[in-house]
Amino acid sequence: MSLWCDKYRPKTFDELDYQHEQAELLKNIVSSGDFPHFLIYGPSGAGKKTRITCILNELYGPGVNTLRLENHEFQTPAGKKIDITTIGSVYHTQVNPSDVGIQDRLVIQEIIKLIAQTNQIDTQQQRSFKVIVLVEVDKLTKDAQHALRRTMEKYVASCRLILCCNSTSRVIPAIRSRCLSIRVAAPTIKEISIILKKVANYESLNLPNELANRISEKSNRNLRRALLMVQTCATQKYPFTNDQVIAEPDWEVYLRETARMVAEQQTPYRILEARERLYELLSHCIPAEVIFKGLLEELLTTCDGQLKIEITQIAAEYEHRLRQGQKEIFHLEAFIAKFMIVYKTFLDSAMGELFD
Amino acid sequence: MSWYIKRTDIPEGAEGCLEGLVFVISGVLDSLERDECKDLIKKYGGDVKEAITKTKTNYLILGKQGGEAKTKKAEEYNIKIIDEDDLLEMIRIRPGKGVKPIKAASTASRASSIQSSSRAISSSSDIKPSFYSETTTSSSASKKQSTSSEKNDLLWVDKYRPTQLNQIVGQQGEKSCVQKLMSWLRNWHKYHGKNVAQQDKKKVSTWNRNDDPTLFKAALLSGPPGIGKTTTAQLVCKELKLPYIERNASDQRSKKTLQQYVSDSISNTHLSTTQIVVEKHVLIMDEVDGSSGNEDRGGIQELIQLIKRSHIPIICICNDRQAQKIRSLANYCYDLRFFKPKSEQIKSSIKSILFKEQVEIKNEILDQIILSCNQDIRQIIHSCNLWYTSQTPLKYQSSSYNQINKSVNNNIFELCRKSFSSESRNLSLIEKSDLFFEDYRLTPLFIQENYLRVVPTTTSRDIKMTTIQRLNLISKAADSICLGDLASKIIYSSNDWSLLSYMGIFSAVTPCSLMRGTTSRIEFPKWLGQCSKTNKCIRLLTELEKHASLQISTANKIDFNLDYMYYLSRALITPLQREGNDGIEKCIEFMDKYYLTHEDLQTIMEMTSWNDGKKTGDKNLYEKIDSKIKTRLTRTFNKHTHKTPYQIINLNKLKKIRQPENEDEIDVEKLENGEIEENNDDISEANRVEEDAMIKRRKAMKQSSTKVPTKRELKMGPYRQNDENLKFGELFLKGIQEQTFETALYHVQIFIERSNIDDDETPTLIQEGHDIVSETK
Repeated sequence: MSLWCDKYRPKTFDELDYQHEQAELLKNIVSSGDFPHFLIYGPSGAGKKTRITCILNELYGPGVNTLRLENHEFQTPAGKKIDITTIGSVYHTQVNPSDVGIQDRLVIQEIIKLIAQTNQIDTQQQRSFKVIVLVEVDKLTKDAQHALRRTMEKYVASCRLILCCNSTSRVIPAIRSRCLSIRVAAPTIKEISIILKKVANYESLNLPNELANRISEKSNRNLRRALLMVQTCATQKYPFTNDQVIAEPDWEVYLRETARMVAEQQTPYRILEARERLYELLSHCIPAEVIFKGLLEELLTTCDGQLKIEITQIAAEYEHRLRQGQKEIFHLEAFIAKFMIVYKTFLDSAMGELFD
Repeated sequence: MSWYIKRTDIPEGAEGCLEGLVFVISGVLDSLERDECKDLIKKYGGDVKEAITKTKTNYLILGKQGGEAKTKKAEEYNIKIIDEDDLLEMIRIRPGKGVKPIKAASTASRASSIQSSSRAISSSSDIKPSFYSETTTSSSASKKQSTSSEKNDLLWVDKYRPTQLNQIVGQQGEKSCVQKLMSWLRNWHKYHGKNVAQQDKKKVSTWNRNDDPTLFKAALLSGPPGIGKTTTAQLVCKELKLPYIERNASDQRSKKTLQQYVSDSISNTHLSTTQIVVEKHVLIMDEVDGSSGNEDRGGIQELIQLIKRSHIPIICICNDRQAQKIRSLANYCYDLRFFKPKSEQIKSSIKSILFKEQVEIKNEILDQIILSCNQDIRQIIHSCNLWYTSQTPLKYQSSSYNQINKSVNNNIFELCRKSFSSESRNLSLIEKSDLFFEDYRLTPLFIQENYLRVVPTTTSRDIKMTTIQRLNLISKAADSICLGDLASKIIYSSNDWSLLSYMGIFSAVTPCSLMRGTTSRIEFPKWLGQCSKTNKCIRLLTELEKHASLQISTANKIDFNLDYMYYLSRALITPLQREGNDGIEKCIEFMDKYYLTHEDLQTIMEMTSWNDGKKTGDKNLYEKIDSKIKTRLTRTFNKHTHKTPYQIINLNKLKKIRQPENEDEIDVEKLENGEIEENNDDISEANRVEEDAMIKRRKAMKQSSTKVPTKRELKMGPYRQNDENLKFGELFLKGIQEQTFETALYHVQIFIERSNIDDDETPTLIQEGHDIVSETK
């Protein structure tokens, strides 16, 4: 038994359900034998990693599917030991350098060198290069990105890089220009519904159209989440009904509740309560950016017209500061305080007009 | 006292010109702040009271919007009503009290006495400067006795150290610590002496054990520094004519040295100077909380052992009663807490010293010294001594007073409260940021934690601040705190420490100025706790994601957390909820599919439980499941072998921990498996394996009896199978063989503590352990 989103994940280009054009293009590039470095980006749950798997499959055949974990150990110049785990097959290695925090530059330098310096033994049978998949490239420090740009050129003969990230805005232009950028767009709601029905069919369940559409909409065009939702629905209640409760991730519910609390009452005590809840969210490893976005989305539903613009602008400003700063909670709290004062002033003036 | 803008037209009056006059202030004065005015009056010897009384009040200083009731009363009592200008005029005109030029005389004679330097310590017993004298400051300048000059080269602190019990400040009462310690020490040999039979000792009850001092073989004196704990201990011993040995932080106090030094003295008898063998002596362990670092390792534990074995009373002294390392010690000690004496008590004894030294310090200055030294008698005497030596005449709130004030180590809570309170309203910008520099790492956190709780006061008292106004202030303060955070980021990332003062302004001074008002209680910043909690969760999440990474479709842990976590927990928990025992198989199957360990299951449950402010919300879904099912789940999970791709074995590390091989075992194993295997045959071995982060604890336990994989086995791939579950007792059999019954039992205990065995199984396991061990014997 495993989760459907893992069970029915496509492994080759032919199995892909959407963006056939792009798939065809990729297939052609890869099958020509040689290809440049890739930079694959797009929102989460759109299928970036699936496409990478497809590329690898196309390149090396099914050998890439026998995966293993490897543990590497490095020593920093200061003498500190760092460990990093990589996933890989004989042909490729997947690394997440941001696992080691600010020491990621070292990982880039060491691992890529290590892998790139050894050539493939049997070049006749296989490709002349290996593939390194770097994920979360947008989380890399500037130092690491600069280290990467040199290595990319130097070892191009023996290895190819596939970079994977959510947004290219934090990838330095020097790297972007060295790669073939491929955007994997999130599937449309219609596409998700079709896939959901298809998967339900595999599992020999009957998924009504309306429920499929509702789930697709709830999922925020995140295919992975949509599949997980369907599966949870299936375990909760089968046969499906159209008005069935769709289980949303717990943190989303919690976050929405927090935003509602802020919009409901504007007092210093409320800020304290909100602070507790924000701490709870942060300590559950929910990134501050996600919290920010969720808060704003929910808060905007209570605002109208001019206020919407104002609040959004404020949020943008505070999020910008949050990224520059260190302690996330400070900025989240400052945003809530600012929202409260703006919102309350607006409400009071509206009330005043009412009585005049 | 340094105002940001200092008034220039305040006249300099003669010293003591307002002496004996009592003022009452009402309303807003023209140029002086109320506090300023109070200080001014006090400076010249006057007094300021809140309410008017018929007999005592001399003047009412009336400003703008003065209270009507006060004015009426003043008129009724025939009290003179003046305004601010009159007051200043008074200061200018009134003659001062005759101030005597004591300083010159006293210092001169002191200088001469140093030259003569007659160190007649033998005669020191003649002089008994008392800490508790009734003398007041009717100073007589010319009086200078030759007796005190004999010990002039000593510091005052040592010179006037109490030599009798009744000289100790603030320890006179029936129930004072001194008396308690006396009676405890006096009765000690009655209850713990060599002749007392074991069965006479009473059972220690868990509560109110401190009521009965006879139970304890040691006493623990605790309290802030400089109030006479060590002196008390020494004097009590002297009083009871018991010789004592003192050890303090300057002596090395590790386990070893304690054993060597102290245990000798504990069991030995004492040979006094008069050649009579005295059995009773006392060990004073000073500064027990100061034991730290590698040198003192195990010191406290050894001390506890000593107390248990001791034939003599032990007195331990520490500052911080709540410290972690003291806590274990405190269980064995008679707890005596010293508190700061009241400033009146200190004042009288200080005055007597000053009198003996022929120094005059005014009452109000003395008050301030005592306050600024935090009632630390030792420091007060030091401060007085310092002024005496520096020979500058003392003025009220002079600069030297400020120096002392700064030297006081302020508590961060107190600092934070001070920053928010209106006390600091009159401080200059520099002084306000000084509060930040006391601890520039912690202060911003304290400010951030507490600024929301401050109730800001408006300029006029009658108008209550509206919520909007308060929110506005909060928002501004929060903005400023954000800027402070940005500054700190730049400081730490680019080492640009010149920004530190800006950070101080943004993260401490501005929020405090905006939110100035009253605080109920200063809270400790939660950020620190939350930060470590977050880090722990990140670590667990990384581990979890690593385990599952071969199966899942995402490549980063954040996505894994956001998308998978909740549904994963549902998938795991639903079968248990719905089907109970029958669901266990399903749950384990699922875990195996994703290569999850039992710890991972806990992590998932922890990550999906939310605290929504209610007490009941703390428990997660997993905990709500019937404990029987959980127990079975654990047991079933441990029974089976699980293939894990992530148990990566580091050969280098394993080589280090190899033990000399057990020959017999190898032969057997060879026959069985055709491979060379080694046997890790000690439980401590297993512990060391455990240090290897890659090997899970539970498995480490099993490995202790099974085998270290050989190269060939490693080559076979990352999949490693655990050996079948061995019976518990067999794990230890081999390691135990040469050892005694006790150590074997100890191992058993360790095993039970370390393994995930459920509580209801423990007794049987212990029994099993007993059986096996006795068999081995």
